[in-house]
Amino acid sequence: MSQFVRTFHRRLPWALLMVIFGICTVIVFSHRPQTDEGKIVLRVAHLFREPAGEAAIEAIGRDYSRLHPHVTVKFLKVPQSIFLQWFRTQLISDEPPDIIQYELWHRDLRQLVAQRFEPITDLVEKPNPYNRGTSMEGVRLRETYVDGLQGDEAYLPEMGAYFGLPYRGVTLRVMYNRDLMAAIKGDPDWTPANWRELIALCELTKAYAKEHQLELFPIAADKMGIYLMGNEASIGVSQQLALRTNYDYDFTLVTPNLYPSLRYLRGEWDFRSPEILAGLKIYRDLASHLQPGFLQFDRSDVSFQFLQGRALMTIAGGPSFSDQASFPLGAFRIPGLTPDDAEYGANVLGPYSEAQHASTFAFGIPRKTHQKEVARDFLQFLSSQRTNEKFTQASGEVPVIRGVQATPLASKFLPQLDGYLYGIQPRALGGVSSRNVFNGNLHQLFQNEHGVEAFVSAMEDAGIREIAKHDTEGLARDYQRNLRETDAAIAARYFQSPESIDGHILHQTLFELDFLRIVHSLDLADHPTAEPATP
Amino acid sequence: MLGAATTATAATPEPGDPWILVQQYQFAQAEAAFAHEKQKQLGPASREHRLGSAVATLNHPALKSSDRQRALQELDDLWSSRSHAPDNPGLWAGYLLGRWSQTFESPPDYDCALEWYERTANAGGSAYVAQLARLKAAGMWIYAPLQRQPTPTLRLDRATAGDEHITDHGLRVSYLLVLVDGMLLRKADHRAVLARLQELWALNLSETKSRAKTLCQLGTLSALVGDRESAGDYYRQFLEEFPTDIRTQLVRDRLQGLISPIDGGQP
Repeated sequence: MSQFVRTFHRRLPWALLMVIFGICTVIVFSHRPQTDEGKIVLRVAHLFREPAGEAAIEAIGRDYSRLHPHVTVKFLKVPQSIFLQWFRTQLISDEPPDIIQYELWHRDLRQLVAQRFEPITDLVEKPNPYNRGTSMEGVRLRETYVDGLQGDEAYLPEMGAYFGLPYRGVTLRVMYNRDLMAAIKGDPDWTPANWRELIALCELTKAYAKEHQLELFPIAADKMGIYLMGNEASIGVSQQLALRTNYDYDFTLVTPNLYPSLRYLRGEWDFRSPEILAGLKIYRDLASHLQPGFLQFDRSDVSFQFLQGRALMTIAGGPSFSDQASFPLGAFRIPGLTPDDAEYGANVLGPYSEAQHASTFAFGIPRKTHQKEVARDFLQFLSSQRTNEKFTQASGEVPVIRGVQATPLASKFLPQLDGYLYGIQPRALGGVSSRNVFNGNLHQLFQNEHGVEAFVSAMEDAGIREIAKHDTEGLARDYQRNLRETDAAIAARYFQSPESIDGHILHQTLFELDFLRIVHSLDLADHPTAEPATP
Repeated sequence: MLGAATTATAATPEPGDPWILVQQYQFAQAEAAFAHEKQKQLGPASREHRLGSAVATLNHPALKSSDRQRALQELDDLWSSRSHAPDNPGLWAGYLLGRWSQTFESPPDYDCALEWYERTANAGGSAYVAQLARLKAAGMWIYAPLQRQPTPTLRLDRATAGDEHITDHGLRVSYLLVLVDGMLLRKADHRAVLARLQELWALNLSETKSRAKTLCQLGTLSALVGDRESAGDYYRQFLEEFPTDIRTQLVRDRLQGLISPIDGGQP
């Protein structure tokens, strides 16, 4: 390697950091609050990438200004690639935007929202005044949401409070080529009713391709696609396990990553549990219907293959492709396992509820905003039925508010709320390091005849138990940090305004309960027989 | 809805109020503000001021070892010099020394934390912070790895000892939430858990998620002890209050007897 290349490689991370810093600086300084002409300037940062979504949200800002001429809404589009750094910078600054849209894909983001955003529980527990004259008039804002605001971007259980109002409906669906479905099944509207029918459709597609000598695969997916589809498909097979290990009878996996991890540390499941092995087999069965070499593909490769008509189906989190495909599109929910399934039924409760993962892109209010009242009012306007209807129709996005008419394709992405709790997904174990080990060994699952055993052995050889424990210890330290800061805030509140302390104590208690469960589970992982078995 | 008269007035608190800065997690600024106020005063700093300054220091993002020792010593002095009359700064100092052991130290010293909580609870009588310390002590007894390795029964006995002193409504709700979870984790008798759940429910739990969870637990525990009528009532109330909750299908099944009452977590 030449000296130039070595130097370039060494300096690349710094160069990237400088570029990101530069972009953040430009964004910050080009969007300082403006209060000219005596108007209130409300600054709203959003994440919509697609031109239609961006245009639709800006039109909503203009509508709001027409209704409130003394307010001007200025939008700032934040590139997702720099979002984490940008978010941190904004929240420690003295002048963050008045409203920020966020996605909580990183633990730090969650922590930042918990500490630096304004709880809006009071807002969501009362009717939205902008719903007057609509079918949602008089209904609590929380209940006007399609998913009842149960998503983990709206409500932070560790804080016992609502912090955001999601604005993008997101559910995983199989999207399919209706022309190909008509050719293969004789009906473009045919969709599989259960898991077995989906697998049979895949087999039929392969037979059709062979008969017509086509380069056609049942499913186009990349690495993320197989994770998502595999997770969705295998959720059902461990539902009974999830219920059996639900010691507090609340019938949920409240925090999807944390609770399976704690149950794992307490020895309530492992990679050799029959339900987990069955789930891995489902992953493997599904992968046999993907295009060869799928682990090497990225999202754009997959889109290209699907749009070229080389696959009957692909997976999507929203009505994508609708403006790119040259063929008509259909969509259906990944069919789950049912209790009457001959192979897996005994472990299954039934289709799961999508209520907890049905929405994203939440709008919230940073604590340091100088326009708190206006920001709260704008959030109500934004989440009104009329406004969401307008946004949905203009952008093609999935509605988040009840009673809003979806476009025909978007309607297939509306969440199905009836259903059971999630099962335990082994990929949700631990944190980043555990997931890296899982992802790094996943190819073993698909490569040879005994893939399930090969994968499980590889996970054990890699020391997954210790790694998951290490991840959870890191999480415990995050909880400690959060607790000591809230301790300080609670002491301050006691001496400064004791009448408002109750809510803070309750939030800390709910958060600390998770911390105590972590501590207990880590102790059991270290000393499984340390505690006397009998009272 | 926003009135036209709304102006751009900031809802920000008065800058420089150190306790408000602590509430906003601006610990460095709070420490400076406490120091500034001390300079303005003629006599020695008040005990409340000394407490606040120590709290801000301990949470300073760039805490130096010497400052940490000074702040901890300040807390210790406040605790040791507390008067016989109700002395909130002194009691808070004891409580926060327990929190230091639990939330700052790595690894945490849970035995030490428990000791401070119990000292504060015993010294404080009915003071708010003494009740708060009892709540935290209960958490330690139930969950923490303690040197003395108590049995599950002893843990629950100690977590409930003296709990009649937790009379503040908000703290009582928190205490019962912790206790019920701990009792279920430690496989306590279902009737005993149900009694605590009913006490919790009678306190008019208003927080949405805790309310939904408690209704589920009340329904299930009632069924487990054979009170199917009450179980049905709780489940029906759950369906009425939380029609789109992720648990509705399971609750509906239980209500209709599609799944028999669970025993020990088994459906």
